[in-house]
Amino acid sequence: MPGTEQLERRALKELDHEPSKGEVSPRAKYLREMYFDSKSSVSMEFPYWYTRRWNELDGELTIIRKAEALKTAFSHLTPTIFPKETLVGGRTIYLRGSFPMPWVLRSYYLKDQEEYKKAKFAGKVADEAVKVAEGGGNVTSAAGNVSSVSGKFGLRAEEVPIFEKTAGDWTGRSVEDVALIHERDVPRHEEKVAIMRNLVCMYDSGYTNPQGREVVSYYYPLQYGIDGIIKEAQKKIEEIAGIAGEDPIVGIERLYFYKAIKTTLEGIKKWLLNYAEEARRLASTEEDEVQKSEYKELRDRLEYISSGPPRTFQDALQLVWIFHLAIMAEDTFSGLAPGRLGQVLYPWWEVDMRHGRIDPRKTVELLECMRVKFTEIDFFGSKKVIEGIQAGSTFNHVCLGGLTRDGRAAANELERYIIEAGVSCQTPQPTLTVLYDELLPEDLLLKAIDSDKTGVGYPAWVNNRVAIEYLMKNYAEEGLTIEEARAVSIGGCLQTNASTWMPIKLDGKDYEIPCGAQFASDVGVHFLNLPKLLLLALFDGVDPRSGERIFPSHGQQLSSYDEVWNAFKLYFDRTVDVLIRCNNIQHDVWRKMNPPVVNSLMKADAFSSGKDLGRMGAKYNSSFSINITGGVNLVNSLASIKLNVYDRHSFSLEDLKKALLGNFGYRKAEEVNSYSLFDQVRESHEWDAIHRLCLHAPKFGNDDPYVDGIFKQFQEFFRGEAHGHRSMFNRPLTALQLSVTTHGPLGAVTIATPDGRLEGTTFADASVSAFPGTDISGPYALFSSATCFDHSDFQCTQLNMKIHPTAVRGREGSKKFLELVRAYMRRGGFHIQFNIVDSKMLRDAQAHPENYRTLMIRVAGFTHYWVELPKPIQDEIIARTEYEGVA
Amino acid sequence: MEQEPRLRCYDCIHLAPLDVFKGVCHISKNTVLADDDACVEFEPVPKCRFCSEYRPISGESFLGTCGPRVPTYPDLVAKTCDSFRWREGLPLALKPGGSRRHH
Repeated sequence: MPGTEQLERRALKELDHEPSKGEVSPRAKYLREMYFDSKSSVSMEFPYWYTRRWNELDGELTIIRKAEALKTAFSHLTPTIFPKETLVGGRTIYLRGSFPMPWVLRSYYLKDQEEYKKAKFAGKVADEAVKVAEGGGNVTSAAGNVSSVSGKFGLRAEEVPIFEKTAGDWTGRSVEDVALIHERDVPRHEEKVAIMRNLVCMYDSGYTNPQGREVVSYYYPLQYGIDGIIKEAQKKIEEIAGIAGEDPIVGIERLYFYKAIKTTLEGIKKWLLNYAEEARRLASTEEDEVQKSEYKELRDRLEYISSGPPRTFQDALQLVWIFHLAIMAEDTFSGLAPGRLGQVLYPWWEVDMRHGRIDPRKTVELLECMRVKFTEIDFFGSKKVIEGIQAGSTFNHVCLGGLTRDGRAAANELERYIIEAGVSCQTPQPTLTVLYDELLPEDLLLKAIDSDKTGVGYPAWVNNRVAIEYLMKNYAEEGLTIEEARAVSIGGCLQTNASTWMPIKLDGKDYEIPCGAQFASDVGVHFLNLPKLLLLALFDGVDPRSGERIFPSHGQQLSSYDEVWNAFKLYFDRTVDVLIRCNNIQHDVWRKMNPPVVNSLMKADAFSSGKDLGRMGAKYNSSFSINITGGVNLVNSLASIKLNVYDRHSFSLEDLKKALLGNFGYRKAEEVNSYSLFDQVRESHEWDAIHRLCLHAPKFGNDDPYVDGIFKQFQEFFRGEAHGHRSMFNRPLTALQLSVTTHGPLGAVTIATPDGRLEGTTFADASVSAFPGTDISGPYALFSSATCFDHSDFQCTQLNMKIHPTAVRGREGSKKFLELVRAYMRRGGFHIQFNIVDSKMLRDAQAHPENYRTLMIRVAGFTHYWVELPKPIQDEIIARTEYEGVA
Repeated sequence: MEQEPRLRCYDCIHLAPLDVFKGVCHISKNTVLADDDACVEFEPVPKCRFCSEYRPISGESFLGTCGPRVPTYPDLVAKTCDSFRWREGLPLALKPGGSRRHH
């Protein structure tokens, strides 16, 4: 029997127990160090070969031309293999490389200033509002032989002329160029231009980010292998060539689709064989016997999977990786999610375990190496997209848990190792999310909690029940059943994706894996600047920042709160109406000029139907949406106006407008280089009284029915607006709400707002997070506010919380933490994510970034390196309310 | 025979490029700057400018053609190009297997 002292010691140890970060394997540590040491780099190899082949095929059908261009580009990419790599393949010759795709979008990196000015005049340039992070892997200025592009990417002097030439080659024939010609036929197009120029909306998704925020189906490569798919495509060709079938419009086109798939796969096969050849070459010069033998193993594996289906877990992982890269090579992608990868790869892992070919240590090491690989992905784009929307993240989301087709907990042992690898090898990608269901085993949930407690920011928590309800509401008309809805996963940072189950036969056993089955999400109208729309209502259609008239007068006297609300609704509707019509044209031009080939293979049911994703080849297509930013600032502002101007008559609307124009007497955020309400400098006391009343008006996040009622009213209006407009697929839009990082740049271009927020400061993050510092009634009050409406009517309702590490200390803390998550899920909250971090440390990290290269932080649906976040977002995260207790 | 050029790691087959500035040397296993002078282990990586098909464009330092018409650029790595042929008359050090070690 242990003595009292021993028991006390054990109890104290238990109380203080903190999850270990684990020891990263030496291999992954070496590879991750290489990543830390690498800068974002542009290579012109892929666009050069793509453009060269495209130009040779003038007159050919577009989809065949594209497939040939892809094949040529894949076949010619220089394979780079780094020492100790067991999982190989990159987007470019560089470890952290990316490349432009001028066939989609080209205006933003033109050297020609006149053309840049024209683009600006057309309302396409928002770069001025975007701050680029200066640390980490960003190349923010030219140095030696290297120029900086978009303030982030390095480009060698030797490649600058071909970079400019290739961009110029696509003049007049990029998706962007052609779409912008045809969208001019939309009535009120000049209004659209003014909307974009004044950043009432952040970007045109049809040519900026036409695909992504979606879940991949790795089914065909995993089950058939490359040669198997080529054989299947050939069978299809023989079956349907010249036969219209049931659809006389696209029936014959199926032939070209299958030919395009075959051609592209030949390119991917050659790509793998080039890597195999490089591994062979390295083996021939390597003197270290262990490394030599690893190169030989690599060569054998790559050669094998260039034709056959995977035999082992490592084969499967390598094949998944190469196809993941291949999808991203065909379009300006972001947010391509591997989905429920632990369940997708489980059959191969289970067979390896059964045959003694793998053990837990090797499993975790491979998963760590996979993490480093996903983190190496970079996405080339304009400042507006890369920093303004994504803050450099690429959103390769992996989900854990959820349910099986027949409603049992789907969690498996491999998913536990995925969490372990995420803890021992902390990297931003792939980010992790638990698809929370009451049936999930407690040990998995506590393992996930322990991961959160290390401060890494993952996993996030998504309510599986709400996600399934959302899918049933939006996809049942397309045939989605409850069994299929259970295959749900998250694409992008938080987009619920309709998925399906696919059969896998391996080692004499039958399995079923969840696979992506829907068109891209987060496409449509993105991101609407809600506080600015309210200001436009208050200033009768004129943007008070630029002085430019955007809308005609709304004709309301604004003599009552209802008139303010009606004016806001009117402008919201006008904005959505003109933008979705333009966006539908953009996306239509995209599908005609850049039909998705690789991604169509990787999505149920495009391959079986013979239709690419642009022709509704995916099983589910109701994924276009309206996305909003600054919803909480809008609602807090409406509450302030209602209370102060109309209920209590504390001041007049005219006085409020003057105070807003005077920034409540403060200097602008940019002048003081602070983008939260901290550290602001007051110049005048003229507006103090009004500002105080605005700040003290009810704020969302405190379970206050006055403001929560307005919040709910807005949500109902928003849902109705979305459902009242239609996508190019003639499906209703969905109402989507998450800011990613747009709350930074959109706040930067918006004057002070009636909630007391100052000009240029960052809006509230996410969609149901309180404005930093205004949630003063504890976490459960915040939960009540956040769940005052039905989350299953919306995409992506998102809640970010910052908790001080001491609040969840020890085993007891872990249990309380899990109960906190459960409480939110049980109230119907869709998503919650945490930063378990001390704000003082963040301030130190801001002051001394050189000491924090590896510090990661949760932003909005993703984790990223602190030093690679723009300052306005860093300021907002520091300012977020830090909860010191969770009970 | 052309003049012996300055040899950089940037042109060496042993360089695994990490980024536009540097890479890992497969021989020494160290990180080296791409623009550093090459060591005795240097072996040229096939690039368009070492190819018999490459033709420079007058007045352009970094643009040329592949054959008479098809545009290309001199530093495009041509390891995977089936048409690549080492150009006649290259300096010794830029010939395959022609590192300074073998001089």
